[in-house]
Amino acid sequence: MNISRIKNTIIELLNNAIYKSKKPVLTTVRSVKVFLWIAACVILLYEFGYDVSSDELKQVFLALDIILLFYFLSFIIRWLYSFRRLEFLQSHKLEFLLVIIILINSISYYAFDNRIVHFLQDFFEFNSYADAYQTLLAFYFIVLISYEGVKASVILSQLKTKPARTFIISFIILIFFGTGVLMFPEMSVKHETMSFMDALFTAVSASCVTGLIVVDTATYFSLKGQFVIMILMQFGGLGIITFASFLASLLKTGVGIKQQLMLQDFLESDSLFSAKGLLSKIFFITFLVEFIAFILIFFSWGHDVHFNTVGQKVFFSAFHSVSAFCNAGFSLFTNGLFEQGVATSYILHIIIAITLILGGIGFSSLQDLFSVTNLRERFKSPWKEWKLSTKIAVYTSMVLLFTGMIAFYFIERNNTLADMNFMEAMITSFFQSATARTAGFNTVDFSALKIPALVLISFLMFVGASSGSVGGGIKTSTFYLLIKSVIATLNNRAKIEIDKKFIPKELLYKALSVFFFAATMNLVAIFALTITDGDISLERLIFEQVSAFGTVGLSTGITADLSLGGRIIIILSMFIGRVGTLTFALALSNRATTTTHKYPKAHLMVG
Amino acid sequence: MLYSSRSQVLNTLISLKAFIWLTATILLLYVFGFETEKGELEQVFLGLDVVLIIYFSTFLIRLLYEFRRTEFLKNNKLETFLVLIIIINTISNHFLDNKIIGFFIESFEFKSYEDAYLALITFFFIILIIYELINASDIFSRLKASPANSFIVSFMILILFGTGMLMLPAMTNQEGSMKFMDALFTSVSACCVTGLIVVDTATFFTIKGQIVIMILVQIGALGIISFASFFANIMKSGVGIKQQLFLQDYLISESLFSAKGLLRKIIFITLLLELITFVLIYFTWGDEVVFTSQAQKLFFTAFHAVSAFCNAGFSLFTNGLAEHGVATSYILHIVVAISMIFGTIGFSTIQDIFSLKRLRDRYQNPWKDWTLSTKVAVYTTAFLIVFGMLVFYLLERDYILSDKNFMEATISSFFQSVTRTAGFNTVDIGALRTPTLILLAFLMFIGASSGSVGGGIKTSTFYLILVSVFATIRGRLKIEIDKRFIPKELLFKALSIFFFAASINLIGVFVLTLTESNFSFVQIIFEQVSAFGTVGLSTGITSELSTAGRVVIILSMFVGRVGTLTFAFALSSRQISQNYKYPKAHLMVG
Repeated sequence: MNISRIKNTIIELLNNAIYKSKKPVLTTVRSVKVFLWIAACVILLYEFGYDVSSDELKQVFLALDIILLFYFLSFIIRWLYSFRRLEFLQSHKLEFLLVIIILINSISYYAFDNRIVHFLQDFFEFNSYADAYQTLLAFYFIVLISYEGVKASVILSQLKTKPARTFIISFIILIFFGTGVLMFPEMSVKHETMSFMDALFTAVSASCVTGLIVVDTATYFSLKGQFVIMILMQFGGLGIITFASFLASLLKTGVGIKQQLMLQDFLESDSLFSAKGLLSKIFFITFLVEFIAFILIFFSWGHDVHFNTVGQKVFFSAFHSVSAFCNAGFSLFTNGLFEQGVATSYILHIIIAITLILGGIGFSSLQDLFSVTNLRERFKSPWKEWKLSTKIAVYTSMVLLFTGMIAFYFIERNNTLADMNFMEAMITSFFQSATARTAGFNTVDFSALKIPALVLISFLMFVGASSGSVGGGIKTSTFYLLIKSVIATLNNRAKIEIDKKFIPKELLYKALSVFFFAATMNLVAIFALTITDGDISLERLIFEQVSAFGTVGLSTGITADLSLGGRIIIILSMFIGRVGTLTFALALSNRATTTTHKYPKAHLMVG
Repeated sequence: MLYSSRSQVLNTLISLKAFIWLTATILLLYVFGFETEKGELEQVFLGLDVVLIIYFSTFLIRLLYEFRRTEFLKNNKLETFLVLIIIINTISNHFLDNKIIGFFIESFEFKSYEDAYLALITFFFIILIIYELINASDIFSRLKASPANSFIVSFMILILFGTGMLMLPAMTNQEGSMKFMDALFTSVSACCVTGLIVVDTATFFTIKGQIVIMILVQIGALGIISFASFFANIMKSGVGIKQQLFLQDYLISESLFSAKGLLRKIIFITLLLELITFVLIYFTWGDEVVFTSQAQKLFFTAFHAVSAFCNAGFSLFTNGLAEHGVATSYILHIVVAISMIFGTIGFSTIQDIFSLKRLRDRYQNPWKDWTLSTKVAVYTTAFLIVFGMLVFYLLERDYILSDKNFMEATISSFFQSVTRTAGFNTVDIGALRTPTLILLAFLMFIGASSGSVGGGIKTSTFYLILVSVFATIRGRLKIEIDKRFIPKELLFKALSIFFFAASINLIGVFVLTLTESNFSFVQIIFEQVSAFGTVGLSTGITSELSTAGRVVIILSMFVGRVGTLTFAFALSSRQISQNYKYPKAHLMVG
């Protein structure tokens, strides 16, 4: 009792003592924090991006230690100044955890002779103590910066920008950040500054989860560079899923004509991140699937694939798992999965293909299919079914997958699949069919494919993944609606019904518009490419362009040979294919209606 | 006296007439299609004379049995006229020592009396047969087939007829008859006014074969214009949702030919424009083009006039208009180009712009404007032509146009841009750069205006889609053109047609890449789009296609011709049943 009274008294005294100074101190702390983060970023980038000598490194470490100390102090001050201290700790769990780690680290560093660091060093087989410490420190700071970044994005969302604009701007920022980081000398094996165009191309390709490359990811980039690419893919992938799911959840709630005006306001005032809990769900599912893929990939590398260290194996597994789920198609092998040794690891192919498919099926479908709530509900009430959008995504994906697989098998049976047995050929066909729908891994040599196979793959790339997923293209639902609509017209039926739901003309109109938009973009770009790169045959240019627009990343190997003009076209195609299709669909959905006046209807003959 | 036997006699006459036409057709086909000896020829002529006499007698009997005789003559002006010619001809033949024919022989430089007589008698019979066919088509239209069905079926009949004709031995310069596939290909190409060729029209066919092709082109084109204009009339009269059910009935009961006076107007305007073209072309052949006779020059002129206005693109020169001598006749190019533009602008547009009534109306009431569809057709066409011309010029300036001066290069660019559904070429298409081929493929894909002889998705479709996309990007819901509100229905139709056309082309290209492995991708795409748009431009691979490839191209031409129109028609006349309606679905697209 006494102790608690004394404690209360002390706290009260303390509170009284610091109450007056709260405001100025907190403001100061905030300014110091901003300054600290900038300093930390600069130092880390410097240390990360340039080849620093041992002396410099020590200074950098010192500076980082100071920053950490400041961070620690600012945390304590903020803790003290917030009067409900327990709640403060609870609402800042992550920060608290980090501070504790910093504490432990510092203690271990200064008091226990670096046991922890050494342990890590042994486990991951780092070259030196400095490397290990640096990695650990970098890891800290990245987590811290991400944490602050998420917090800042909340502020950003309060700026009341439109979702479409937020989406486009955040992508542009990510791309330029990526370009800048990739241009550091340390990113390449040769310690040279990458040319701006190459860096931009790689950054766009990674951020848009495409996978087209102008330099060999495996041999040109150092581990750091590869790491940066992985981060860009992960951010890009998460950004796309978030935005697309936000859109999907908004559009699927069913907006009638009357609500359209309200929707307009809603879209403008509501921000991307305020969609309740969406972001955290997306993060959770993404990381869960990636983690499972990581484990499975880790254990299914073939015997022919040699890794220098366990660390390298872990990194390769992580990289390919992220690349697969985000449908990026970046690989750490020069020939992609066609690399000798990997090309025959059929189990690995199947795992990657399934990861690709999960990544391409869309977040809302994943949730509908696998979330515990939905599973339990379906188990209890067997008459409950998947949602319409899930059905369309799953069935259309399956039809495309199997059509693609069988057609690929028959076209390439005597060509690239000639020296495989039936089962291997089937798996390879399956893989190409899955990867064509926006991932971009390859287990056969694409430059050796026949023209019909290229046309087939281009078609699959154009259709792309399902709505609300990380993949590109016009989306399976669009494709499904188009086919349904044409069949209904040919059967002379005006009403289109799917699964006892009436498909309004509005929706078909939207699907057709998206199709036209995509077709036009591709046509314009192909036309431009034939002018800039006249020496490359048309089918390769078409393949490259459709691949870029669908953010697939398959290539017949001409990407690096493209002229400067050609590269700019491909960069634009990737960007437009990524953000354009989505924002165009959004624009179609929330066009402003004014009902003040209306001219008489026009009658024109078409066709 | 005659009354009691009337119906009996008339029935007999109708059967007799049918029999006579059959005989006459067979005899003519025999004379026309096979190499006949002199003795045989005389027998055939005798047979034809007998047929003519019987025809003459039946006409007289019908006249006698018709009790209002002057009115009968008035109603059957053409028949009366023909009978008069037959009488004159017979008299001249048997009494006046063939002066009339002799006159023809001299002026058209025929080789012999038989040739001239044959030409004359064929001409008679063709006119008679066409006349009877038009009468028969009235009966046909009473069968109450839907317009779309009658369109497709009549095209198929025309194609098969053409194939049969072209397979007759006398059509070709070689021994024996043409292969079925080649004949089918040529017939489809001619009927669909495409112009793709697997054999050289100039050297492979005799003049008879060339005439058959010209006739097929002419009939095919007329059929298309009639059908498309019939559609346009229905569609443009403005059908609301309420009337849609009535429309359905209307469309089924009403036939193509009963649209009042439409057919007559179409034939009149077509023949008039072709005549003007004919005259202009006749006087603009370059000096370097050498004709062996006056008749040949006339025939070449007529053939190219028909081919140009009908947007067929068949030419009697091996290299098309890129033939040495013709390639530099720039005035001729401009004449042909203008004729093609008239062919592609659409019948209703021509009527709107040039008909005396409309001209007078606009002159008296200056605030009256062209109709919306005319404006769209004219402005989009003009835009596409100028756009195509500029881009073509810029792309090929240092390549195929390099040895031409600025004016010549501009005219050549203009011509290639205009030929977007015709298929004439004044430069070697096979030598063009890839971007140029893509440009041309794009233009071919868009094609002509609605209600015209040309193919493609049509300028109005293209215009609507563009307007719609721009409106979407600018965040506007309502689309207004020229103070008219464009309903979503219409945009939906336009986009559906685009998707339909794109899909068919994609499938065509895919199958062609499977069947043709020895051509480059760009050549295949160009060939397919050209076939689908019924254009007829080719990089020169048509005759080297495999059989499967030819089948694909034949189907593409046919689908491109009848498919786009009937698909658009199907989109407009879908049945709506309002018995029940499921809840609306909400799906995310894109």
